[in-house]
Amino acid sequence: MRQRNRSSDRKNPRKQSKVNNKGLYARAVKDAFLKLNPKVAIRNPVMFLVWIGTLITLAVTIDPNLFGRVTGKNVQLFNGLVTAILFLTVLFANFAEAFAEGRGKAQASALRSTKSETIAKQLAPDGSITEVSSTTLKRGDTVYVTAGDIIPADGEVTMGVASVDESAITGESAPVLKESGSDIASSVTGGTRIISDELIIRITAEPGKGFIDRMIALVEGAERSKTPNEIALTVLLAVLTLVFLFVIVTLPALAYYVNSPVSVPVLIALLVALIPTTIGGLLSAIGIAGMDRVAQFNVIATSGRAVEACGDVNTLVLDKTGTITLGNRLAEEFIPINNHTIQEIATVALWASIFDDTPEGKSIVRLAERLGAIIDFDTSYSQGVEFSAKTRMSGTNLPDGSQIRKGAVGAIKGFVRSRGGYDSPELDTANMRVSEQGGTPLAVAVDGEIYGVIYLKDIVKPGIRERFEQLRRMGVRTVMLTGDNRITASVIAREAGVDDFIAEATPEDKIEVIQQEQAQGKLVAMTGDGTNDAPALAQANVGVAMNTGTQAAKEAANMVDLDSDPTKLIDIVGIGKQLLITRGALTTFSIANDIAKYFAIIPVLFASTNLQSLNIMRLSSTNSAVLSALIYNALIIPALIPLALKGVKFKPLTANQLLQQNILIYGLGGVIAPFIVIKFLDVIITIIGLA
Amino acid sequence: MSYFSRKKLPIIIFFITCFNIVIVPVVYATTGKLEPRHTYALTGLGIITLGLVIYLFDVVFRPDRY
Repeated sequence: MRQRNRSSDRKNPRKQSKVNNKGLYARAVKDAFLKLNPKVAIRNPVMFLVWIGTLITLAVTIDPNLFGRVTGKNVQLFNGLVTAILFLTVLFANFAEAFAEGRGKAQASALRSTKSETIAKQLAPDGSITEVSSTTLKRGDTVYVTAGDIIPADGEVTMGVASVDESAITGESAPVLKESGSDIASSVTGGTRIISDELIIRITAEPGKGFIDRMIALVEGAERSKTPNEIALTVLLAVLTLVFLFVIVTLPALAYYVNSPVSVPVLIALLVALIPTTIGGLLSAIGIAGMDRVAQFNVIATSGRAVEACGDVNTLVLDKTGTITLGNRLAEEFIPINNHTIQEIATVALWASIFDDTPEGKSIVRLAERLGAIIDFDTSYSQGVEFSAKTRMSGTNLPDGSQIRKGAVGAIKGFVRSRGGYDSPELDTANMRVSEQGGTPLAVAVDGEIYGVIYLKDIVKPGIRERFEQLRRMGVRTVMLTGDNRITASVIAREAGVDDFIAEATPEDKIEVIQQEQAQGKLVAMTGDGTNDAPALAQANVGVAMNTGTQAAKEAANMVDLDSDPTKLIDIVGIGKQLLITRGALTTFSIANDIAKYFAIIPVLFASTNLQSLNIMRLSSTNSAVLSALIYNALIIPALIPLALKGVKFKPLTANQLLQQNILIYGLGGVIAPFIVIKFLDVIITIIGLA
Repeated sequence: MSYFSRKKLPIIIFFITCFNIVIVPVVYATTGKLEPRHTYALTGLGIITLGLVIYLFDVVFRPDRY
């Protein structure tokens, strides 16, 4: 019964956000009106101009003679229609932004529901437990949690092993094992639920600054600031708007000179038709939607800047294990040397791996046991030696003082020599044999004696070669980092199709590779999970930390992958590129639209002069031309909202091919589409007698 | 003082009105044919346009503020 309640309590943010989507439209409509507030509207220069234009045409609707006596039929109706269309244009642009933001807000409310105040059992130094509110916990406090409890804040496990349900943040219902002392499984997130056993946790986040708090702020857009690309585009749009404003301001003098006076509402209509309202209205929606697409991939980006940087990435630095090859390398074979038997090496390999909890270590134990190896000493008097990137070996110190080690061949050679032993040519032969098959050779030794080599089979992920090929076509270079020797690394690199590789790499090599690439003016992306990855994650332009990683890695990175799948980096680069392509495509479309709108309004504006040859659309009247162009201008914004939110379909092409394709589809399409639609609208307006 | 620094809009409207009163005679003298109320409206429109030009220049030179 209790179990059933717990599973029903589990929240999947993706499912939750679908439920909230029902109210998304209503909330977006409400927010679209709230964004009419001048303080908010002023942040978008193009639409702010349209909003001011709307207010002026409204004044002229109320008093058509405000700026001078006007003659003609239905002046008030025409002014009223212009006002209504301009108002709808502003509203549609606000709606696009509000709708894009709404998705993030829905996700934030799902997350907020997990972040309720809980009672935490705080541990005092003397071991006594005091119940306190989770909001009062500070960094450095220690808490005790047991099965059924909600973990009160982010922290590191200092004692115990337990299963934790992290579905509230990852959407993944399978529980995750958390234990102390492990580099990647010891960090826990506040708001998640412990479902078995108990843990003692040291709090690592100040109140209100935990992982879920940061996620809420990010998906809600509270910390959203314009990205460099958005700023550059905003400047371009402001300059274009300024130029067209000068054109419109000087036009009445010209019109007066040719004896074809132009009314203020028509001038405003012409200004709005000329300024790039389409991209002005959709610009922020495109950026927010890009963040949202990354979030839908179960990746949390700390800023839009990070997502955008993904689109400009030139080099991907990838770990071999887990990214290029399947994470769990399995022991395939024991290769005995120095006249040792297969039984002997199996036994030594088993003893070396009894404290090794990695998938590789467990597979060695399984293979050795299958070969009949047994443990004939008291493990409680033995000591496990953990693998470290520095020593590149792990093992066991036996009760009789013997030291058993397994690890990289070079490291084991050094270990043996330091104990008076020697390496043999047989070791190099076995090493070469495993390496040439793309496997990882692990040498096994007891004190000064080498027993043989364990062949760890590495399997390249299916389809990874094609993905690297796509990246190459996009101009992205891939660099594989591996702790394996040069021969193994070259075999895997060739099989996977990476551009470059670094064998026998240490964590320090990662940061060195990144710095070298950056020195050549390239943007670098990488993934990491360990504390020793943190400096490289901070150095990279795009650093993606795994959610299973340490707190230090997550804080250094600018993205956190909740599914802890390093291959996702390739998808994130695709999303970043898609964001930039979408922005470029819609900007091209918006500016191309101006040509048709110009040809629609200018000839009829100077009706009394001989400019009718420019009226290539044969629009029926000035008023009809103005209304048709404005209606098109307004309707194109909601028509393009789905494209802005979904993004232009991404194809792995070179920059030149993309440019050609975009100019053809969105440039030429942007010129032709308004001609057809404006003419159609003119016919409709003339038929119903609106103008 | 803090009230005025918080509520900028009334102050802006006040200054636009004052500026309008100063400019109106110039506009009236230039055109000559307009009624006084049209002159006020046109001057207001000119001031709003000038304000928009200043605003757009500000966006161009300090885009990160927007």
